[in-house]
Amino acid sequence: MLDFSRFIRVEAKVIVARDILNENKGVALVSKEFAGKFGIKEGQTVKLTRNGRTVKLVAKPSEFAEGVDVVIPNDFFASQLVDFDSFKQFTASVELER
Amino acid sequence: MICTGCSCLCDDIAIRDGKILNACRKGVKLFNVKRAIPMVNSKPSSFEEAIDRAKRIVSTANKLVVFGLDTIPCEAQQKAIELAEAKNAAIDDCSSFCLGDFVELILKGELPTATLEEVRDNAYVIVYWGSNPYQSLPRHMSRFTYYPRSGKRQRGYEEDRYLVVVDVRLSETAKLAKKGGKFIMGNDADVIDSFLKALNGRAGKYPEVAAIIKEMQKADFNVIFGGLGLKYGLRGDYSRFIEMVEKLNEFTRVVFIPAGFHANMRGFNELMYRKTGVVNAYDFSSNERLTFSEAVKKADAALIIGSNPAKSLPSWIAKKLAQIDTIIVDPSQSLTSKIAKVVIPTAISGIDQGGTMVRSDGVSVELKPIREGVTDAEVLSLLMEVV
Repeated sequence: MLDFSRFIRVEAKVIVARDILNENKGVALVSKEFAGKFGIKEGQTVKLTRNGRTVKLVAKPSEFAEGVDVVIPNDFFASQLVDFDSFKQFTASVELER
Repeated sequence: MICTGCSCLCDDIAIRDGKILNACRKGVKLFNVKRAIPMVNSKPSSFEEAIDRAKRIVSTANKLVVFGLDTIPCEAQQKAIELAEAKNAAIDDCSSFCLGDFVELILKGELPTATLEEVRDNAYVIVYWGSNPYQSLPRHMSRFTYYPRSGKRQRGYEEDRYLVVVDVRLSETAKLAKKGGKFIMGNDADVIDSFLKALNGRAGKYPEVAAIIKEMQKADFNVIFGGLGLKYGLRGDYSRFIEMVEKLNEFTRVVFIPAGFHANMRGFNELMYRKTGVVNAYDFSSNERLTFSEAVKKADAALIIGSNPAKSLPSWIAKKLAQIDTIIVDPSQSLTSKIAKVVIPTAISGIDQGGTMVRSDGVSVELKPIREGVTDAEVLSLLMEVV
């Protein structure tokens, strides 16, 4: 498969959730639908950007992101993107690291 | 001993031949924390030097904010409230961003509640709304809700429990509910609206709620556990949710319990409620509500106790704490201890300090430590000397 997806930057619905097994590991759970649509594969680095702040996380397609696009653990990486009015749920742009 | 890893406050933890028995992964983590050492200006110091520097900061601060407090015993929380009042400081805990609103609704009598033992012995329909105990409260379902065979519910989850999950995504708990109960994936307000419509004989966006109400009517005791997803989904307007619970109680008994949080968040909420009439976020200089996120903007000093806001709150908080005179009183090394001017190590609640904590359902629990260390109450008493 040609890697066209690495030029795409899309808006994604992100939620922050407790995930004690993945905390502080820099992981982003990506819904299988979202991963399939944009050609994101397990282990690839995705950049999440919101309000000028970016974090780089390792993508992990997971059934536990079904219903949203991306789930990130409630940890240091999440604190870089959240505000008090969007503590658990927000929209961020997602792109594959080139 | 009592585990203070979360607000379940599990009372069956034992240590035998160096092994920790019965604790979940959160509990085990508590035993394995990297302990803090006394520090002043990022350099190791003696305990006395750290206390002296902290005393100087507290005595000279014009705008002090006290924050954290949810992992320490009530006795220390009480001293922190006294210190904040004496210093005309702002005080807040994590419940401002967590489930403090739900505790306040319960303390005001706006939502009916029960103890976790009553749930264990009686509850048939168990609703986790915006909560995933699999991750946040690992033993909640096995000790109190879905799995136990107890009281009227001797057949356990196979026949005597009906699990419902309302969430915006498929969580581990939701996956379980899909098998033998109901999982509703959707917007909280729409789900509440569907319940209210179904109770009036009409169909809403989620017609499957009618089946849940029917299941609730089979029993005389059902429970809703509300989590952070519900809090943030409702955006501070709980009126329709309260109306829904009231209406459900016209048909059957439905109680509400906050899903869970830090070990002693509810203890702090109850102490604050007794003192001020509100559960958190209070400024003693104006006698008005003030969240930590607002108070810290104007603060020249911060006293953080038993918390790690640099990791868990928006990143600008860490930057602000690094700019002002921040004191951290906590057993473990953390991001906050890295940016604080003063680090004062204390004992871990339940392991090397005793006292009282309040479980998520409001039941008081006496800690049974196995060692003795410097308690948070002792440190706060020393700081009170200069206020």
